[in-house]
Amino acid sequence: MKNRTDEYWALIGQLSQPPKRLEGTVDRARNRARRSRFLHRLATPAATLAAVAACFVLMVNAFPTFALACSGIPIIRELTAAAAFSPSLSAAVAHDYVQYIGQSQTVDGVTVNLEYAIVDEAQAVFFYSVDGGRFHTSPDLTDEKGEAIGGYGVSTYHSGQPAEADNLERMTLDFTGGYTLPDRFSMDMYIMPEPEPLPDQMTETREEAPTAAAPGASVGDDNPDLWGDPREDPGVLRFTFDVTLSPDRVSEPTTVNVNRWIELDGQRILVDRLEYFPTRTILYLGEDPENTAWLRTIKFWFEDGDGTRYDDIDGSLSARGEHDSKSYLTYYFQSFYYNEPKGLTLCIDKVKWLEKDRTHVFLDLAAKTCPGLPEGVEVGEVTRTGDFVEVSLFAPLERQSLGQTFEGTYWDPEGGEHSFNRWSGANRFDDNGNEIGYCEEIYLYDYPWDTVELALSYTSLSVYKQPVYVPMTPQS
Amino acid sequence: MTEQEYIRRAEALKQPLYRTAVLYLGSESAAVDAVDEAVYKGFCAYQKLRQPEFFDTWLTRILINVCNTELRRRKRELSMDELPETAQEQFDALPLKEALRRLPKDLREVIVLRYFTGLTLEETARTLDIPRGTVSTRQKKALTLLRLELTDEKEDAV
Repeated sequence: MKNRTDEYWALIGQLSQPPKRLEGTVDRARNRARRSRFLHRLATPAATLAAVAACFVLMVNAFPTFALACSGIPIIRELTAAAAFSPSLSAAVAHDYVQYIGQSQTVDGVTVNLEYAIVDEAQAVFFYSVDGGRFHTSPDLTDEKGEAIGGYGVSTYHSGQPAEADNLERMTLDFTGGYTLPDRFSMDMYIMPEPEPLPDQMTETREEAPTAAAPGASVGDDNPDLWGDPREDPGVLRFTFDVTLSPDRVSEPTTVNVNRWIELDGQRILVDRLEYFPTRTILYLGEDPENTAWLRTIKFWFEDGDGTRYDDIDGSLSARGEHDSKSYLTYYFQSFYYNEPKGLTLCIDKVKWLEKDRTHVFLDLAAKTCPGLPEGVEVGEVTRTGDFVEVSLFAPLERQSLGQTFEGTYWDPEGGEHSFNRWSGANRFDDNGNEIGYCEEIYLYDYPWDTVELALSYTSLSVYKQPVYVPMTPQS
Repeated sequence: MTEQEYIRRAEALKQPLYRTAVLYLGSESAAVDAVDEAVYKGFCAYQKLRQPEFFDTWLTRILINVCNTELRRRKRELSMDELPETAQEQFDALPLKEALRRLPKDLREVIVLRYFTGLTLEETARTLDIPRGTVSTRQKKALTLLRLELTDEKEDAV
């Protein structure tokens, strides 16, 4: 139970590291609003599209698997293009895991062509085209008995090209919690006819800004029912496909039992095993109960014997907490491994620890002191307004990527337990606008006391200039 | 509300807005786009905000609308299929981020606003236009499913 709460704060920490681009949000809004005074109609910024194009070029140039898929497989070019954003998928193309479905349906003048699927036990990817419409919402799946298939999340990608039969789009179903896709199933796809204009052709009247007549009023949304079922939206068309997959082309997960103990900063960590699907990798670690610190975060990538680096390019790295430890020992990672890479090496460059005997610190709000903070972190300002206290912590700039310094619970001197409700973090600047550090702020509400006991989320960070390399082979 | 005040308050709120947008849209890039759009829409309208004390609720509501519009317009939906409230074991087996995204929608939106955007019970109720008691009930249910023990002394004190 406790660890789930730890996991919450870890997630908060992860989400509290916003992209650099967020810093300019308000300036951009102000500039845009000023421009709009002169331009009645503005073209929608093409930044997203440009980013997509840039990413495509990057993938083509950066990933051998993609190049292989494009050059070595006599399959239609659109498929490889649609798969371009996922090295796993382009590798799937290369390794002939693509299943041909080749079904087509037309409803009210809109045609959906369900062309291909790439399936493993963790994920199913469907490639389709729509002539005269656009993907609207997640599909429904039912098995042969007509019972709903659950346990999946859906993401889609389309190239931004016109909704025509020649342009393949991609829909990915991620299965978790032990759910898988059966060999035979029906899929209801929901398509909205009459696509929106293309982003680069779209113009938009900016006079429709929210009126903010009252808090809670619907603002800037065409549909007044925010939470309605999108399948019931007016005009949505349903297309039902009965699909049979070939089990021969459903790739099995591969498990590499490593069982290799390593020592990091004097702590013993077990690299237990690696489990990889064509589309996802799971790294299982263990720890020595005699360790003096819990492993809070580990940053890593893989390299194979050919020097190919498999990195966390899509921000997909996530971790799961344990039931009986404050450590995070299960890591989910993007997989690139259709290639059955030889000589795989785990490369570790950052590790965050929480010392077991140093989990709590006491902050003196009056004296603005807090012995035992992680190295480089210091109390900046303490501002009290009645029973409301704002505390700023200053840290080196590189600490911005470390998330919260404290866990979510804190205690007053009388033993009362409290929880943080709000927090924030931002870079600090000098008078010339240069970044000089990182500032994290915590807020204590209804807090008349002068001291507070806080639980640390970490005590130290190790950044290895020379990464720690761990061969992903059983220890001999 | 003056322009300077809007800028100050929007700056202060943009991180919680970003967290909310990430959980709605599933990607950092889309989340920043959504926050950009919401802050812009707010910029165009702040002078009409009659009750500045509801600023956070107001701008959060704008963001939610932007996120929903984005999901529908760009057809890049990242919503997860929900697990039933009885699927405790499945929730337990998932990393928190995934478990959160698999919550029934009415529970999920309350948790996102309460514990990731940082709204109070009252603000969440106002944002979702549902009674405070309903927020409280959904919150308890969701926290139980997620096995999260998050207390809120502010609310308890009310």
